[in-house]
Amino acid sequence: MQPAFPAFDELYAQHSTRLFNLAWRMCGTRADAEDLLQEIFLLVYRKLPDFRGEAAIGTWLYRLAMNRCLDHLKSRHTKANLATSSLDEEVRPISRPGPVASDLDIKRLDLERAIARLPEGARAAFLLHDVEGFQHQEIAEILGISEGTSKSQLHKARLRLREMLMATV
Amino acid sequence: MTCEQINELLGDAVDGTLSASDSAIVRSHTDSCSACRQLLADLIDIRHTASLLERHEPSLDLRRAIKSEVQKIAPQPARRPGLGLWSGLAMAASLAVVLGSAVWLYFAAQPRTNPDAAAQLASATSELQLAEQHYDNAIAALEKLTADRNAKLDPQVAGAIAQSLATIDRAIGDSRAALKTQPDSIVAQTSLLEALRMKVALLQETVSLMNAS
Repeated sequence: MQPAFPAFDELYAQHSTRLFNLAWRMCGTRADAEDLLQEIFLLVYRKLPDFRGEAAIGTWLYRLAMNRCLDHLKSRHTKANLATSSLDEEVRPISRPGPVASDLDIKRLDLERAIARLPEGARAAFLLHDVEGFQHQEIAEILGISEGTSKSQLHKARLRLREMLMATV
Repeated sequence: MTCEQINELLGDAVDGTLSASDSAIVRSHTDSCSACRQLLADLIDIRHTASLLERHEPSLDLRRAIKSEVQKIAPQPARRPGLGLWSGLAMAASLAVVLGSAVWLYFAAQPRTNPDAAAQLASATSELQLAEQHYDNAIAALEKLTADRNAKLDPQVAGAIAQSLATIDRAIGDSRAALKTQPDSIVAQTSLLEALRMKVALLQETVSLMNAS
Protein backbone atom coordinates (compact mmCIF):
# COMPACT_ATOMS: atom_id res chain seq x y z
CA MET A 1 0.00 0.00 0.00
CA GLN A 2 1.32 3.46 -0.88
CA PRO A 3 1.13 5.58 2.26
CA ALA A 4 -0.29 9.09 2.18
CA PHE A 5 2.52 11.50 1.32
CA PRO A 6 2.48 14.80 3.16
CA ALA A 7 1.75 17.98 1.24
CA PHE A 8 4.59 20.37 0.45
CA ASP A 9 3.84 22.79 3.29
CA GLU A 10 3.88 20.02 5.88
CA LEU A 11 7.01 18.37 4.50
CA TYR A 12 8.83 21.69 4.23
CA ALA A 13 7.85 22.77 7.73
CA GLN A 14 9.08 19.49 9.20
CA HIS A 15 12.35 19.05 7.35
CA SER A 16 13.59 22.20 5.60
CA THR A 17 15.63 23.64 8.50
CA ARG A 18 17.33 20.34 9.24
CA LEU A 19 18.03 19.71 5.55
CA PHE A 20 19.28 23.26 5.07
CA ASN A 21 21.75 23.02 7.96
CA LEU A 22 22.90 19.57 6.87
CA ALA A 23 23.48 20.74 3.31
CA TRP A 24 25.28 23.88 4.53
CA ARG A 25 27.63 21.92 6.77
CA MET A 26 28.16 19.13 4.26
CA CYS A 27 28.92 21.48 1.39
CA GLY A 28 30.26 24.56 3.13
CA THR A 29 28.39 27.65 1.95
CA ARG A 30 24.96 29.20 2.32
CA ALA A 31 24.62 29.47 -1.45
CA ASP A 32 25.30 25.74 -1.80
CA ALA A 33 22.74 24.99 0.90
CA GLU A 34 20.09 27.12 -0.81
CA ASP A 35 20.69 25.46 -4.18
CA LEU A 36 20.72 22.02 -2.63
CA LEU A 37 17.56 22.56 -0.60
CA GLN A 38 15.72 23.46 -3.79
CA GLU A 39 17.20 20.52 -5.67
CA ILE A 40 16.35 18.13 -2.84
CA PHE A 41 12.68 19.13 -2.73
CA LEU A 42 12.38 18.96 -6.51
CA LEU A 43 14.04 15.55 -6.44
CA VAL A 44 11.65 14.37 -3.73
CA TYR A 45 8.58 15.30 -5.77
CA ARG A 46 10.05 13.88 -8.97
CA LYS A 47 10.78 10.60 -7.22
CA LEU A 48 7.50 10.54 -5.33
CA PRO A 49 6.01 7.84 -7.57
CA ASP A 50 8.98 5.60 -6.61
CA PHE A 51 8.34 6.00 -2.88
CA ARG A 52 6.79 2.74 -1.72
CA GLY A 53 6.90 3.27 1.99
CA GLU A 54 9.45 0.59 2.87
CA ALA A 55 11.37 3.38 4.63
CA ALA A 56 9.91 6.14 6.76
CA ILE A 57 9.35 9.28 4.71
CA GLY A 58 11.98 11.10 6.79
CA THR A 59 14.63 8.45 6.20
CA TRP A 60 13.86 8.37 2.49
CA LEU A 61 14.04 12.15 2.31
CA TYR A 62 17.41 12.36 4.09
CA ARG A 63 18.81 9.55 1.96
CA LEU A 64 17.96 11.54 -1.17
CA ALA A 65 19.38 14.66 0.45
CA MET A 66 22.68 13.12 1.52
CA ASN A 67 23.14 11.47 -1.86
CA ARG A 68 22.57 14.83 -3.50
CA CYS A 69 25.09 16.51 -1.16
CA LEU A 70 27.70 13.84 -1.85
CA ASP A 71 27.13 14.15 -5.61
CA HIS A 72 27.56 17.89 -5.27
CA LEU A 73 30.84 17.42 -3.40
CA LYS A 74 32.11 14.95 -5.99
CA SER A 75 31.32 17.38 -8.74
CA ARG A 76 33.07 20.17 -6.82
CA HIS A 77 36.12 18.00 -6.21
CA THR A 78 36.34 17.33 -9.92
CA LYS A 79 36.10 21.03 -10.70
CA ALA A 80 38.59 21.86 -7.94
CA ASN A 81 41.03 19.29 -9.22
CA LEU A 82 40.71 20.71 -12.70
CA ALA A 83 41.36 24.19 -11.36
CA THR A 84 44.16 22.84 -9.08
CA SER A 85 42.65 24.63 -6.11
CA SER A 86 42.26 23.01 -2.70
CA LEU A 87 38.95 22.23 -1.00
CA ASP A 88 40.09 23.92 2.19
CA GLU A 89 40.35 27.24 0.42
CA GLU A 90 36.75 27.04 -0.73
CA VAL A 91 35.23 26.11 2.60
CA ARG A 92 34.12 29.06 4.68
CA PRO A 93 33.11 29.01 8.33
CA ILE A 94 29.35 28.81 8.72
CA SER A 95 29.33 32.09 10.67
CA ARG A 96 31.71 34.41 12.44
CA PRO A 97 31.37 35.44 16.06
CA GLY A 98 30.63 39.08 16.81
CA PRO A 99 33.14 41.55 18.24
CA VAL A 100 32.57 40.25 21.79
CA ALA A 101 32.65 36.51 21.31
CA SER A 102 32.07 34.21 24.25
CA ASP A 103 34.15 31.10 24.88
CA LEU A 104 31.22 29.06 23.60
CA ASP A 105 31.05 31.11 20.39
CA ILE A 106 34.73 30.48 19.79
CA LYS A 107 34.37 26.79 20.55
CA ARG A 108 31.47 26.52 18.14
CA LEU A 109 33.34 28.37 15.41
CA ASP A 110 36.40 26.15 15.89
CA LEU A 111 34.19 23.09 15.74
CA GLU A 112 32.45 24.34 12.56
CA ARG A 113 35.83 24.82 10.90
CA ALA A 114 37.03 21.42 12.00
CA ILE A 115 33.81 19.71 10.79
CA ALA A 116 34.33 21.26 7.36
CA ARG A 117 37.73 19.56 7.17
CA LEU A 118 36.51 16.06 8.03
CA PRO A 119 36.45 13.40 5.32
CA GLU A 120 32.97 13.24 3.76
CA GLY A 121 31.87 9.92 5.26
CA ALA A 122 32.92 10.85 8.75
CA ARG A 123 31.42 14.33 8.35
CA ALA A 124 28.09 12.88 7.25
CA ALA A 125 27.96 10.45 10.20
CA PHE A 126 28.96 13.17 12.68
CA LEU A 127 26.45 15.72 11.38
CA LEU A 128 23.60 13.22 11.29
CA HIS A 129 24.31 11.85 14.78
CA ASP A 130 25.80 14.57 16.95
CA VAL A 131 24.31 17.65 15.28
CA GLU A 132 20.96 16.43 13.94
CA GLY A 133 20.26 13.69 16.46
CA PHE A 134 19.65 10.67 14.22
CA GLN A 135 20.18 7.17 15.62
CA HIS A 136 22.75 4.80 14.11
CA GLN A 137 20.00 2.63 12.62
CA GLU A 138 18.59 5.66 10.78
CA ILE A 139 22.04 6.82 9.71
CA ALA A 140 22.76 3.36 8.34
CA GLU A 141 19.60 3.59 6.19
CA ILE A 142 20.30 7.14 5.11
CA LEU A 143 23.92 6.54 4.11
CA GLY A 144 23.46 2.96 2.91
CA ILE A 145 25.99 1.57 5.40
CA SER A 146 25.83 -0.82 8.34
CA GLU A 147 25.15 0.38 11.88
CA GLY A 148 28.66 -0.75 12.82
CA THR A 149 30.15 1.41 10.08
CA SER A 150 28.05 4.33 11.23
CA LYS A 151 29.39 3.96 14.79
CA SER A 152 32.93 3.56 13.52
CA GLN A 153 32.70 6.63 11.26
CA LEU A 154 31.29 8.68 14.10
CA HIS A 155 34.05 7.68 16.48
CA LYS A 156 36.72 8.41 13.87
CA ALA A 157 35.09 11.80 13.23
CA ARG A 158 35.17 12.72 16.93
CA LEU A 159 38.79 11.63 17.29
CA ARG A 160 39.79 13.61 14.19
CA LEU A 161 37.89 16.65 15.42
CA ARG A 162 39.68 16.43 18.74
CA GLU A 163 43.05 16.40 16.99
CA MET A 164 42.12 19.44 14.91
CA LEU A 165 40.71 21.31 17.90
CA MET A 166 43.79 20.58 19.99
CA ALA A 167 45.96 21.91 17.16
CA THR A 168 44.07 25.23 17.24
CA VAL A 169 44.69 25.80 20.96
CA MET B 1 42.42 -3.65 29.53
CA THR B 2 44.75 -1.63 27.34
CA CYS B 3 44.06 1.95 26.27
CA GLU B 4 43.50 0.69 22.73
CA GLN B 5 40.78 -1.71 23.87
CA ILE B 6 39.19 1.00 25.96
CA ASN B 7 39.25 3.33 22.97
CA GLU B 8 36.92 0.95 21.14
CA LEU B 9 34.35 1.41 23.89
CA LEU B 10 34.60 5.19 24.12
CA GLY B 11 32.13 5.90 21.31
CA ASP B 12 29.36 4.13 23.20
CA ALA B 13 30.62 5.64 26.46
CA VAL B 14 30.13 9.15 25.00
CA ASP B 15 26.63 8.23 23.83
CA GLY B 16 25.72 6.50 27.09
CA THR B 17 24.93 3.25 25.30
CA LEU B 18 27.44 0.98 27.02
CA SER B 19 26.23 -2.10 28.87
CA ALA B 20 26.57 -1.96 32.65
CA SER B 21 29.56 -4.29 32.61
CA ASP B 22 31.41 -2.35 29.85
CA SER B 23 30.59 0.88 31.61
CA ALA B 24 32.23 -0.44 34.78
CA ILE B 25 35.32 -1.48 32.78
CA VAL B 26 35.64 2.00 31.21
CA ARG B 27 35.14 3.70 34.59
CA SER B 28 37.73 1.51 36.22
CA HIS B 29 40.23 2.25 33.43
CA THR B 30 39.66 6.01 33.29
CA ASP B 31 39.99 6.24 37.07
CA SER B 32 43.58 5.15 36.73
CA CYS B 33 44.49 6.43 33.21
CA SER B 34 44.56 10.21 32.89
CA ALA B 35 45.06 10.10 29.09
CA CYS B 36 41.90 8.05 28.50
CA ARG B 37 40.03 10.13 31.10
CA GLN B 38 40.96 13.31 29.23
CA LEU B 39 40.10 11.72 25.88
CA LEU B 40 36.65 10.72 27.12
CA ALA B 41 36.05 14.19 28.56
CA ASP B 42 37.09 15.84 25.27
CA LEU B 43 34.85 13.60 23.18
CA ILE B 44 31.89 14.30 25.46
CA ASP B 45 32.64 18.02 25.12
CA ILE B 46 32.72 17.76 21.31
CA ARG B 47 29.37 16.01 21.29
CA HIS B 48 27.92 18.63 23.65
CA THR B 49 29.25 21.53 21.56
CA ALA B 50 27.90 19.90 18.39
CA SER B 51 24.43 19.91 19.89
CA LEU B 52 24.76 23.66 20.47
CA LEU B 53 25.80 24.63 16.94
CA GLU B 54 23.90 27.49 15.39
CA ARG B 55 20.70 26.65 13.49
CA HIS B 56 20.07 28.58 10.31
CA GLU B 57 16.63 29.05 8.79
CA PRO B 58 16.20 29.09 5.02
CA SER B 59 14.73 32.41 3.87
CA LEU B 60 11.05 32.88 3.10
CA ASP B 61 11.99 33.86 -0.46
CA LEU B 62 13.70 30.50 -0.87
CA ARG B 63 10.63 28.72 0.46
CA ARG B 64 8.41 30.56 -2.03
CA ALA B 65 10.78 29.76 -4.91
CA ILE B 66 10.93 26.08 -3.99
CA LYS B 67 7.17 25.80 -3.57
CA SER B 68 6.62 27.43 -6.94
CA GLU B 69 8.99 24.97 -8.64
CA VAL B 70 7.54 21.98 -6.79
CA GLN B 71 4.02 22.92 -7.85
CA LYS B 72 5.08 22.72 -11.49
CA ILE B 73 6.17 19.10 -11.20
CA ALA B 74 4.44 17.58 -8.17
CA PRO B 75 2.47 14.54 -9.31
CA GLN B 76 -0.70 13.71 -7.49
CA PRO B 77 -0.55 10.35 -5.74
CA ALA B 78 -2.52 7.78 -7.74
CA ARG B 79 -6.04 7.23 -6.46
CA ARG B 80 -6.51 3.64 -5.45
CA PRO B 81 -10.21 2.95 -4.95
CA GLY B 82 -9.57 -0.52 -3.62
CA LEU B 83 -7.75 0.99 -0.69
CA GLY B 84 -8.30 4.70 -0.09
CA LEU B 85 -11.83 5.20 -1.35
CA TRP B 86 -13.35 2.16 0.23
CA SER B 87 -11.58 2.52 3.50
CA GLY B 88 -12.82 6.13 3.58
CA LEU B 89 -16.35 5.04 2.81
CA ALA B 90 -16.15 2.30 5.40
CA MET B 91 -15.09 4.91 7.94
CA ALA B 92 -17.96 7.15 6.86
CA ALA B 93 -20.33 4.21 7.12
CA SER B 94 -19.07 3.48 10.61
CA LEU B 95 -19.66 7.09 11.56
CA ALA B 96 -23.15 6.85 10.15
CA VAL B 97 -23.99 3.80 12.19
CA VAL B 98 -22.56 5.39 15.32
CA LEU B 99 -24.65 8.48 14.71
CA GLY B 100 -27.73 6.41 13.93
CA SER B 101 -27.30 4.28 17.04
CA ALA B 102 -26.66 7.35 19.17
CA VAL B 103 -29.85 8.94 17.85
CA TRP B 104 -31.78 5.75 18.58
CA LEU B 105 -30.42 5.41 22.11
CA TYR B 106 -30.94 9.09 22.85
CA PHE B 107 -34.55 9.08 21.79
CA ALA B 108 -35.31 5.73 23.35
CA ALA B 109 -34.18 7.21 26.68
CA GLN B 110 -36.05 10.53 26.35
CA PRO B 111 -39.49 11.05 27.90
CA ARG B 112 -42.08 11.80 25.24
CA THR B 113 -42.86 15.47 24.82
CA ASN B 114 -45.71 16.87 22.80
CA PRO B 115 -44.86 20.34 21.54
CA ASP B 116 -47.88 22.31 20.56
CA ALA B 117 -46.81 23.04 17.02
CA ALA B 118 -48.82 20.72 14.89
CA ALA B 119 -48.58 22.81 11.74
CA GLN B 120 -44.80 23.14 11.92
CA LEU B 121 -44.49 19.45 12.60
CA ALA B 122 -46.65 18.54 9.64
CA SER B 123 -44.61 20.80 7.38
CA ALA B 124 -41.25 19.43 8.56
CA THR B 125 -42.47 15.85 8.27
CA SER B 126 -43.71 16.52 4.78
CA GLU B 127 -40.36 17.99 3.72
CA LEU B 128 -38.53 15.06 5.22
CA GLN B 129 -40.78 12.61 3.41
CA LEU B 130 -40.15 14.39 0.12
CA ALA B 131 -36.38 14.30 0.64
CA GLU B 132 -36.56 10.70 1.74
CA GLN B 133 -38.56 9.83 -1.34
CA HIS B 134 -36.00 11.58 -3.52
CA TYR B 135 -33.17 9.58 -1.98
CA ASP B 136 -35.13 6.33 -2.09
CA ASN B 137 -35.76 6.79 -5.82
CA ALA B 138 -32.09 7.50 -6.47
CA ILE B 139 -31.06 4.52 -4.39
CA ALA B 140 -33.48 2.20 -6.19
CA ALA B 141 -32.18 3.31 -9.59
CA LEU B 142 -28.56 2.95 -8.53
CA GLU B 143 -29.15 -0.42 -6.92
CA LYS B 144 -30.67 -1.68 -10.16
CA LEU B 145 -27.62 -0.47 -12.09
CA THR B 146 -25.16 -2.03 -9.67
CA ALA B 147 -27.08 -5.32 -9.50
CA ASP B 148 -26.87 -5.64 -13.28
CA ARG B 149 -23.08 -5.13 -13.34
CA ASN B 150 -21.93 -6.44 -10.01
CA ALA B 151 -19.93 -9.21 -11.64
CA LYS B 152 -17.59 -6.63 -13.16
CA LEU B 153 -16.16 -5.66 -9.80
CA ASP B 154 -13.11 -7.08 -8.11
CA PRO B 155 -14.48 -9.46 -5.41
CA GLN B 156 -12.50 -7.71 -2.68
CA VAL B 157 -13.87 -4.31 -3.66
CA ALA B 158 -17.40 -5.71 -4.06
CA GLY B 159 -17.13 -7.19 -0.57
CA ALA B 160 -16.01 -3.86 0.88
CA ILE B 161 -18.91 -2.08 -0.82
CA ALA B 162 -21.43 -4.62 0.45
CA GLN B 163 -20.08 -4.23 3.97
CA SER B 164 -20.28 -0.43 3.79
CA LEU B 165 -23.82 -0.58 2.39
CA ALA B 166 -24.91 -2.90 5.20
CA THR B 167 -23.47 -0.47 7.75
CA ILE B 168 -25.23 2.48 6.17
CA ASP B 169 -28.49 0.51 5.99
CA ARG B 170 -28.28 -0.12 9.71
CA ALA B 171 -27.81 3.63 10.27
CA ILE B 172 -30.86 4.32 8.09
CA GLY B 173 -32.91 1.77 10.04
CA ASP B 174 -31.86 3.24 13.40
CA SER B 175 -32.68 6.77 12.28
CA ARG B 176 -36.10 5.74 10.98
CA ALA B 177 -36.82 3.94 14.25
CA ALA B 178 -35.85 7.08 16.17
CA LEU B 179 -38.13 9.18 13.97
CA LYS B 180 -41.10 6.94 14.72
CA THR B 181 -40.60 7.76 18.38
CA GLN B 182 -39.87 11.46 17.85
CA PRO B 183 -41.08 12.57 14.40
CA ASP B 184 -40.16 16.22 15.05
CA SER B 185 -36.58 15.56 16.05
CA ILE B 186 -34.15 17.59 13.93
CA VAL B 187 -31.26 15.36 15.01
CA ALA B 188 -33.02 12.19 13.88
CA GLN B 189 -34.10 13.81 10.60
CA THR B 190 -30.56 15.00 9.89
CA SER B 191 -29.16 11.60 10.75
CA LEU B 192 -31.54 9.87 8.36
CA LEU B 193 -30.89 12.27 5.50
CA GLU B 194 -27.14 12.04 6.02
CA ALA B 195 -27.24 8.25 5.93
CA LEU B 196 -29.37 8.33 2.78
CA ARG B 197 -27.01 10.85 1.17
CA MET B 198 -24.09 8.60 2.05
CA LYS B 199 -25.77 5.62 0.48
CA VAL B 200 -26.42 7.53 -2.75
CA ALA B 201 -22.76 8.67 -2.82
CA LEU B 202 -21.52 5.13 -2.28
CA LEU B 203 -23.75 3.74 -5.01
CA GLN B 204 -22.68 6.51 -7.39
CA GLU B 205 -19.04 5.69 -6.73
CA THR B 206 -19.82 2.04 -7.31
CA VAL B 207 -21.38 2.77 -10.69
CA SER B 208 -18.40 4.98 -11.64
CA LEU B 209 -16.04 2.20 -10.72
CA MET B 210 -18.01 -0.34 -12.73
CA ASN B 211 -18.01 1.95 -15.75
CA ALA B 212 -14.23 2.37 -15.45
CA SER B 213 -13.51 -1.35 -15.20
